[in-house]
Amino acid sequence: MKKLTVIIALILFPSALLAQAENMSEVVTAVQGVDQVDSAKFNEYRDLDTGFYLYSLRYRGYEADSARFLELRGNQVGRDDQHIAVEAGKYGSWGVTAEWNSLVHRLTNDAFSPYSFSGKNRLVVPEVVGILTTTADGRKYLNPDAAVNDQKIASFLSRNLHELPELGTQRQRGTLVLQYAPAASIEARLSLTQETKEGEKISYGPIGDRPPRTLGVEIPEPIDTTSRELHFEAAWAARRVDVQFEFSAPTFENDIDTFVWQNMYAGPDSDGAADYNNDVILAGAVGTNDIFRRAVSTFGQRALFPDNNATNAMLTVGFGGPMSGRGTVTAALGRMEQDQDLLPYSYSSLTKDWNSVAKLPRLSAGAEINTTLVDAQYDFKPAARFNVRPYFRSYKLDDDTPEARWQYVTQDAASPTGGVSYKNKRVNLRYGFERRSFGIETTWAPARTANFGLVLQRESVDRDHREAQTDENMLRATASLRPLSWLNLRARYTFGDRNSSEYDWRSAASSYWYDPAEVNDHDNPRFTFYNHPDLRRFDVSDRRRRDFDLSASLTPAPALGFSISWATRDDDYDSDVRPVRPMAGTGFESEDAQTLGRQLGLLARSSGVLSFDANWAPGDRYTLTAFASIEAVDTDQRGMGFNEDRKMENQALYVGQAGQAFIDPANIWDTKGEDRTRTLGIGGSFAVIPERLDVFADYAYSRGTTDLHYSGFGADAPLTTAYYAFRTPETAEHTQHTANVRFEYRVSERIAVGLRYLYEEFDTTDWMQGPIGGWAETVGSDYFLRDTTRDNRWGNRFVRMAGYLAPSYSTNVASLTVRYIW
Amino acid sequence: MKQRWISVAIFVFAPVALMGAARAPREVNWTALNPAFADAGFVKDPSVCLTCHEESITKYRHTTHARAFKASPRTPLEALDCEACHGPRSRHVENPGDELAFGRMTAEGRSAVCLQCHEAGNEQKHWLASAHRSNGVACTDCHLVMERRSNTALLGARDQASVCYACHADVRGQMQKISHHPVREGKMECTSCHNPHGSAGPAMMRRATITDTCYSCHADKRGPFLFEHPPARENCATCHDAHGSNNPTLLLARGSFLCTQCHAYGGHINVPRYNRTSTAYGSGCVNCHIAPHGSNHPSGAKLTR
Repeated sequence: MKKLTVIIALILFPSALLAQAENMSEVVTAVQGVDQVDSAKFNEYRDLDTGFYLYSLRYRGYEADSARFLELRGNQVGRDDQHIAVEAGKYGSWGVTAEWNSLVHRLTNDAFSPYSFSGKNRLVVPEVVGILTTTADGRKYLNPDAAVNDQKIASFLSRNLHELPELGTQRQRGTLVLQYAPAASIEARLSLTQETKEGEKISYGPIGDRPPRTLGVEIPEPIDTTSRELHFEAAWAARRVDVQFEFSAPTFENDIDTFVWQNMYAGPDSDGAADYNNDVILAGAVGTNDIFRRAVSTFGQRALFPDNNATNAMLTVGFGGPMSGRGTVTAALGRMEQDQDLLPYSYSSLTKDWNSVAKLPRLSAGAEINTTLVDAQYDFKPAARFNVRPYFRSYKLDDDTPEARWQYVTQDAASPTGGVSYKNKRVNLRYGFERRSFGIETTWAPARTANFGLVLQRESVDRDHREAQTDENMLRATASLRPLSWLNLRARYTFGDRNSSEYDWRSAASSYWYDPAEVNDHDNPRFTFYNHPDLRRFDVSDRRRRDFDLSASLTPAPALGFSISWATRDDDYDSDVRPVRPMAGTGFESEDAQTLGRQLGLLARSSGVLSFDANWAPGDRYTLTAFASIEAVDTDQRGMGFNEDRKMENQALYVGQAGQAFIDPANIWDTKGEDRTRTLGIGGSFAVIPERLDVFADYAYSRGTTDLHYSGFGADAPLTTAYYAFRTPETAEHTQHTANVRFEYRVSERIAVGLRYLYEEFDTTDWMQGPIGGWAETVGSDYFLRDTTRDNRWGNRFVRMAGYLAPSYSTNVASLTVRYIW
Repeated sequence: MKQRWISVAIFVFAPVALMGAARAPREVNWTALNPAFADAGFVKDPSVCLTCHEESITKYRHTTHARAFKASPRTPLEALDCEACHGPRSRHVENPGDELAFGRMTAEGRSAVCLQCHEAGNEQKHWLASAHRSNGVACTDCHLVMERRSNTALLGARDQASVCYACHADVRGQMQKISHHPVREGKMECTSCHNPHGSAGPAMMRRATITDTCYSCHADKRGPFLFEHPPARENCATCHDAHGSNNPTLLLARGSFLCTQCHAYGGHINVPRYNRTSTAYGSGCVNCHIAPHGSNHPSGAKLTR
């Protein structure tokens, strides 16, 4: 009813205004039929269904004498993806725009879960699995015994697994814009935006110590947020000076601050209470490596995105100067703030009041970031057709959030005494940075058919608490030529040489606050190292960049145009890594151990895109367009398996033991990624009977494939029992075909009837999203992925709720339309 | 805090209010743009143009310029109507030909004509530093002033994407990938993120940084958070490709293979493992490290809550 009222109002509203104006109204209605589609991907960002549709609504009114106008535009009116805009004003003077935009994002319609919402932010299961941790004779469960717990979970799921409503989000964005230009020298614009977002997305609920001892589940995470923004712009200009001011104040409010889910694995109460709280659900034999005594919360709890607000003010001054010059100077100040009340460390007391906020160093986040931007340039002509533009830019981000000493109560789990690991004493570091660049750009246009440019730039980035500072020298050369009236050529080459300062692989040490005396095992990230010293994070590493673009646009005839372009991007992150002795001087057994000096992390990334675009309109009756592209992205990365619990031990003793020593070349793995995308499209229109019958048709094809070629450490290890085993996975591929045909017959000046047909096909295979091959061990249900830990000590299982996108489909959509113009 | 912004507002607007006298547009030197304009004068009578250009002027009448210039010209230049953009036409009237045509000027020259009125506007204030200008793109390469083909901004094609894809065909291909922003569905436009006229930010972003631009729709990621993930704070593009990806959620690499490009702590973190919740299936590392954009939980140091 509400939607119908809106529709009627939209149709009637315009005709009541500007009665004496030049009016044009148009409405397109349709009766539409859609094949049954069992895939959220089909309607990922749209709302196509069987029924009556108001495809579009248009009104344009204009009074020539006063230059006043009123416009209304509506698409998919009344649907989940509707867009409605009303614009009114006086040309060249003022304007008001009100816009309503609905944006749907469907994630999956294939979600199953044992969980149900109990309230807005709480997920519960009707019963718990009750994982067994010891056998009847008191032994600890090992892998051969896992079938017992498998069956318990399978039985649990068969009783409790149920289909969830479609997961996804719905945004409703309303915008009001006021524009005013009382004179040619002044303009102002004020916009107010409010957006609500509701729904559920796919998320995860980890409870437990840490992987692999995590009792993970895939769960729907509720979303109920409101964003608002006030944005104001004003500009004033005189003959040689102009000033622009911009101010924005966005806010974000989350109606759900906390998200709670039940631990579906929790065993029977060991203390006999009915609350399943603080139960020690696992216990191993004392004196073995497999002892993992933990108190585990029966609920997990997370802080969802906190309320936040920001303000930003920017002032730009433009001015004319000597040598036909113009300069601009921009300065901006910004602030982002967030002061949400903090949750306690844990949902449960875990025997030591970890559920009390009194244990926190402060009760609210007190997070604050301040930014400063300065941008200046002056463009002048020292000679005819020759421009020079020196420029400078600085952006500084200060994280002014107070640092404090926190505990990391690992995933709502603690030892039976309530203690947590020493290495989980963490500091919230203030990661600020300052990016400065300066350079000079010259352009030379020797003729109207030629334009050449050259840019030399230096950029430096200083970062707090990161491994390195970087400096980059960049050169960019461009050429634009029009050798023939119908041929336009463009080329661009960019070379960048980024150098990082000495890479400080110890930088993460400042994020810990434990004392040396507290260290009671061999994983000691504060006084040893955190990441492997041979790793180079690619965003702060050395980088040699080479980009090349070449394009040609041809218009051999007025009705024919096409363009072809080739673009490559090559980033080489080779950072000249040398072997180091990360433990030297520590006195630990491993202090003589020397790393291999083989760089780890992302080593290189390159891409190439060949694209083609054409359009042809040989006469009033025909048009033809086409496009095609081939894109290839290649990556090369390297990693190393080593045991952080052995870092302080004599590494030589562990060389040859899979995944143990950080100096062992046998632990190196390599992965080469190949990402390919091919697209093709063709479309056209044909006036079968001029002014009477038109046909429109288009077809689009896209295919994306992703391959990972894995080699080295773990590639030969058994898949079922080994900790570190991996194989080159199957190709992930997505293929889509979309074909549209539309006939429109003009019955009269005012009425046209049409017939539309859409065929769409989507095929997807993705080893990350579906139970393909050995990745998924299904036990009693397709939705249960079993995690085969070596000893099954945590009953470590992962219930897969649903894939990221629902499955392949092919479908037909047909509609009969009526266009009425008055 | 409030006082700070009030002071800024007063500082900015007081002089503007005082100096708000009508400005003369920055008229170009037509002869410098095309020597053939030498000795030409303004005809100042649009009806003369109509004599030969009726078809194009009929279309032009539906444009913003035509309506604003005709009904309420704010400056003498606007009152010239056709000649405001086409320059003095007396010689053309005397001897019709194409020596004064727009296409006879350089890209810089063609843009200079538009910048007579638009240079100091909010939208175009950073044109000087825009990549389009640097690469020899003129206003008229994207805008068609003589005809209303688009709902807004007098674009050369009916929709914005068609205009941009004419040169950025590679982006059209990227937008066809399985994970993409809803541009091809018509729910976003290129200008939702980019200002093609230039900006104070990189890549002609609408806001001062890439992250600020992303926050305009993804305000939940703005934080700031108690525990930050520094690459996410510095640049969303460290992990995401906003133009499209064959991986879920616009990621540059698949699941744990993205994280292991920067993380090699030991044990589960640095090895993609088969049949482990810590690795490949689902969302990879995010299965447990569910807060890669930052955590506001006191136990959030490892971005797990």
